[in-house]
Amino acid sequence: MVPWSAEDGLDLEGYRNTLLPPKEIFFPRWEPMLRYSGWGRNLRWEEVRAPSAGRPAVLFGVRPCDARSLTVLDAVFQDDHPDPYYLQRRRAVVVVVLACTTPGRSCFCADVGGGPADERGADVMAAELEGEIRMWPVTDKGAQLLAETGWEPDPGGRELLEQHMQRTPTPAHGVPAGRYPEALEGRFEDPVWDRLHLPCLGCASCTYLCPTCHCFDVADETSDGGGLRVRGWDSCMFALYTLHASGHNPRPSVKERFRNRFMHKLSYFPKRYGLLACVGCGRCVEHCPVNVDVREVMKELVSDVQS
Amino acid sequence: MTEPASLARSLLEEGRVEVVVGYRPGTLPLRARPHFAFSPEQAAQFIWDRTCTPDLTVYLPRLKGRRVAVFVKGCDARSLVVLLQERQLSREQLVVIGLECPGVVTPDKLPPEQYQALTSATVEGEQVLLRGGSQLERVPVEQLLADPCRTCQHPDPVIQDYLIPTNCGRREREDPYGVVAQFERLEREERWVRLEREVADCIGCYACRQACPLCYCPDCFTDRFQPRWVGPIWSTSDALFFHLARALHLAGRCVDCGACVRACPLGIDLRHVYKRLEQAVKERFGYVPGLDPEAPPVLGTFRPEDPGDFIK
Repeated sequence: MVPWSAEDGLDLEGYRNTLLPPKEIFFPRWEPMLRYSGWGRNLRWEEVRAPSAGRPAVLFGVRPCDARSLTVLDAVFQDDHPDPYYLQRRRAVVVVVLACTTPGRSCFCADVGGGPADERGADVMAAELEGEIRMWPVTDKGAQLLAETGWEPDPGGRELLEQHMQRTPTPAHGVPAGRYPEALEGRFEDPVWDRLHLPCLGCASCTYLCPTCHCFDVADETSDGGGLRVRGWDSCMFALYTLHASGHNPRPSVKERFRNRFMHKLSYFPKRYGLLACVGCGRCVEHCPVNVDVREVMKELVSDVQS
Repeated sequence: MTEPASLARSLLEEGRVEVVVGYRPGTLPLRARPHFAFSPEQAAQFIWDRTCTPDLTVYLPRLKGRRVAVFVKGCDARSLVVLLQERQLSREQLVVIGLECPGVVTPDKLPPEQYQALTSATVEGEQVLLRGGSQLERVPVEQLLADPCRTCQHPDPVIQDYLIPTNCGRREREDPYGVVAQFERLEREERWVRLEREVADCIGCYACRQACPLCYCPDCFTDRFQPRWVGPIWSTSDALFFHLARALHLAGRCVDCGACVRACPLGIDLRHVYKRLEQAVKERFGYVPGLDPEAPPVLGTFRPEDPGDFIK
């Protein structure tokens, strides 16, 4: 996503989705938390926030899968330790969702409980129908935005979109998402992981491009006599992620890391929050360097149960 | 059954190897993917065509000590040679199936919007048929050829136990250091600006490092804390430091397989940097990596006649 100004105009021709998901707006690649100097009794510190924190903004063109990913992230960042960094941005940003009138080849939102016209996570819903952008509010925040910008709410748009959707192929590939987390009960030591992990290179392109992955690390950027404490993205695909100070690593190889990624998305997360941590955006499918396809992994995990 | 499949099948049936690492069709147009066959039945899926881009030797250090058969193109054979030179594998554990390579195609050569709109694609001789819904377009293979293939000097595997020949014609090789010359024509400041701009989008996912068969260190410098070389602030200077340090570690080793460029989700391409290092090693030491498994690694050895003019 890039800053937009009125002179830029709006060209949606060929737009399917952004390469990076909108999570970076709310949960940036890295951000400062506090600055410190001195040692011992002379230690001084102050809380710092990134300039982007709390700056009002409108996100336009977020796809329904990504909007739904925000509801997944909300569950985490509003949990027992509400996260001020994320929540401050969430409050300040209005999300305008653009319905997918032509879904992409790797999209499988409909398999994982979403859909190309899903309004969850949207403040305002928009759709490009018959060459025109139609918009209608979903939340009060969205209604306020439309009122302030003088845009006439368009309740007929929703109905028109529904009619259009009946003529549009559903972004589904028969991924049996409804069978999780049950399908993964007692599967931690299943031999299926020995096979499934094999092609995985152990990079973080899937997790960094994933709209719901939200792991972070907190570390100090030190300089003479002080430093900056920052938090930044981390990935469960890295060996360092679980490396203990003793040198022991409970997830010593790609197999354990790969298993954790899928167990977390399809089992641990749904058990804790009642939501799958996959919204079917297809980014990991499109960008995995070796074409590890989450849709196939999910199908195999279920078919193995049946056999 | 295809030739790669029947060969793999017989190797498994005869118990010559435990596993065969090759290619099978992927789930995206123009993208074959790695396939691991442990049984003769699993061997049926193997293919070999111009969409078989991944360098499969990246998996070999993980399979150290096991009897493995691996499919290698010209460049992959050279990375295998480097792995052997550096004692990461033993030749005895391997059955090497060489693929005479006419060059591979990469979807990176299509504008992203066009690639994303494709539903399928097939390579037919020197043409690629691209299908997007009801639309059909034919483009020459030449247009989609990966950059390293345009200058490849060793399309036939330098090491192999079996050879699967190609029936495709060979193309004229372009100047391997054309990308270097193009970059070096720029002013010093401009070169720096270009490097910074190239890595500015880097998100630090390390897909380039993980896809590289020669980035096999179990403990990468990026994972070290004392001192900490990159992060936790992920700035352009951190990204540039990572990429340039990785390039230096590949000097005299990189075989220009192109895996790092293809792996990058952001499309970062530092091939000109790697080619410059390759050129420097060639000029100074007369050494080309990945040709002789018995040769000592160029930067791991010293000869009295080695040029020393860089020590001032």
